[in-house]
Amino acid sequence: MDKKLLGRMKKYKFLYFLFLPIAVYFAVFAYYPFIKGILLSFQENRLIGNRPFVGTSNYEAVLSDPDFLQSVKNSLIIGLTDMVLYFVLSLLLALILNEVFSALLRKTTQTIAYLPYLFSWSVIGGVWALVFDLRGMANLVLGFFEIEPVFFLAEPALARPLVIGMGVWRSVGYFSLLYAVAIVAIGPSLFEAARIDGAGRLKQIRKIILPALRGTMKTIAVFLAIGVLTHFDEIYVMVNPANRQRIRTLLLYVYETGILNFKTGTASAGAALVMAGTLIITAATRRLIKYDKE
Amino acid sequence: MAYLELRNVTKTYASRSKGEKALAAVRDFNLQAEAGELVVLVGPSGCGKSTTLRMIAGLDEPDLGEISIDGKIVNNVHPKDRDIAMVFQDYALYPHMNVKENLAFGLENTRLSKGEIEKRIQEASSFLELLELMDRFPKHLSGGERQRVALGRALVRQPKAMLLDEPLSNLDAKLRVVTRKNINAIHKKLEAVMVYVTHDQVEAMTLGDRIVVMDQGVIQQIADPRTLYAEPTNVFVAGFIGTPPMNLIPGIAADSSHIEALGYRFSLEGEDLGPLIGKRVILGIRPEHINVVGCGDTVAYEPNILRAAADMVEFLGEQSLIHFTVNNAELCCRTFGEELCRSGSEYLFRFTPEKLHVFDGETGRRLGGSHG
Repeated sequence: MDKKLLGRMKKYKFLYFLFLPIAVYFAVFAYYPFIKGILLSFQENRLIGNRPFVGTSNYEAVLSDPDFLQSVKNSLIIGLTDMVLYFVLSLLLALILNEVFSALLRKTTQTIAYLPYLFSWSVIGGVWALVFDLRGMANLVLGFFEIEPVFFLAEPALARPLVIGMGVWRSVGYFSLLYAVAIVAIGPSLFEAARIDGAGRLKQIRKIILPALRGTMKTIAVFLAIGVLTHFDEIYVMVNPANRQRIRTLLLYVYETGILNFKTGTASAGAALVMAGTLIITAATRRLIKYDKE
Repeated sequence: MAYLELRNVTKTYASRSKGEKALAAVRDFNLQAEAGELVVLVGPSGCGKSTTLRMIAGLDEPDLGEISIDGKIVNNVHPKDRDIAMVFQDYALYPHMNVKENLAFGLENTRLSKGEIEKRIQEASSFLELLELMDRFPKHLSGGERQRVALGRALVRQPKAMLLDEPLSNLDAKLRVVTRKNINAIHKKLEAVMVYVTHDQVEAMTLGDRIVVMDQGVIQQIADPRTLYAEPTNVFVAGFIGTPPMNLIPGIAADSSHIEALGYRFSLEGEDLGPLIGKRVILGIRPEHINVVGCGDTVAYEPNILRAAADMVEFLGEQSLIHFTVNNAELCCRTFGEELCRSGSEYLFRFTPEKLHVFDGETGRRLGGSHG
């Protein structure tokens, strides 16, 4: 350890002391499982007793499993669609709400849009199951137009749109709030100057608001990129034998393999691959949006 | 007909909570300004000067009254069509555009040809020495440079009215002087009516052809700087204009030419206190009209002479300010190069009789005549 750091630790020992619980938390709940998981992925599938190392055979097993390959595909479709939709729709919502003149209407809409984010996935799953049940609200509406009822939850073709819709419904309000905060931070005199300069509302959005949101957009994009391969909860609450092939994501695959089928090594290999994939997608996104540049 | 005219303009802000009175930001504002004139609105914060400016710009709407620019009533005209330009206190430069784009932005929304736009930008930027900054972004500019860009943005529009909202308040003393010169030069070049808002009376006095002094939404006086200084219309203006401000001393009109105040008797010249005899008045005198006529016991008693020890002497180079207290009234005297008394000894201050101002104790209005 270099002298400067030691000196600083001495000087600010109280701050380092405060930092300790967090460090312990991450060591116990993040770094230890992470290292343990990597180790497991090279060991035989055993719950108790010694686990002999088996080289890369777990990885080979995972990569030759058609279920895993299908879950990669599902993950990419659901994750990337969610990423794009969250990003674009929340931005649109924030921009539209910003144009609402009545503060009461704006705040009410904002709160309603944000509300689902506070619900746990199981509640949301329940709500959606009710709405899209055979006798649910969705079919009621269809019935009004004399359309035959659809069994949304069991229709494989509708499985992905439903899961994606759930995610959008839950998260768009939250992300739009992040945009709204950034919009509010723009100095009001800029808009006044633009009015005097004869710029219409659309031009103001294009030339003042969107450039000012660049930083927030980048942060949200990276945040969403990190989550592309880690969709689990909404899948877990919606999955059933009819739609499993369509919406089984990587984490559900890991869960089924490791927790339900006790194949710890195979599951760990899958999890390690998810992490590698996340690293790649995040790095690619950062590069694409020039995250480190202004 | 005046170039810029405000007739009975009134603006009230709705009260925030129940039971609170609605706040009149500007009340019955009347002003006529000619092309080429620089009018300064000055007053303490919250006096309504910025609101007035914003109403001229069209950013706020008056509740009552009319605003006309070049003979056309503009109450219902969009800011962009009023042919005005505004310089904001925080400059309001578009942060994601470079200097050139900032200058061009307003022009691109007009029907001007590309050549004309380019020409105007060239002209303005060479006038304000911005040529080397054209590719820079606002955050890479110093405060003074930003201010010049903001002025340039107004200049390229060649507006009929140029509105400036406290444009110097974020600059240091040196830059203020330079920018003041810039503003003066632009004013001469544009020949538009310029309305300049500031809370700084020094700025107002140095820049304005005419000054509008405001307090609590009401115009207190409109006059040129000299008149404002020499003949303030009421106690507020007297106390607001001038640094240090006019000494204001409460007293009683004893007879038609004498006022009793601070336990002394002051005689006035050329002022008839007739209607105020026996009533409360306020005696006003500028610090430079109080002379040191001696120290200690050197001079015998005379009317208009006060004896007091100095609380503090501020040496300012060519002048000194002597602060003293008489009967709990804090007063200030400005001397130019005269001998100061030994510390601890008392001064004899003489109040020049023909420079005394008398204000009505009830209304605060200045009494009649034209003192110089």
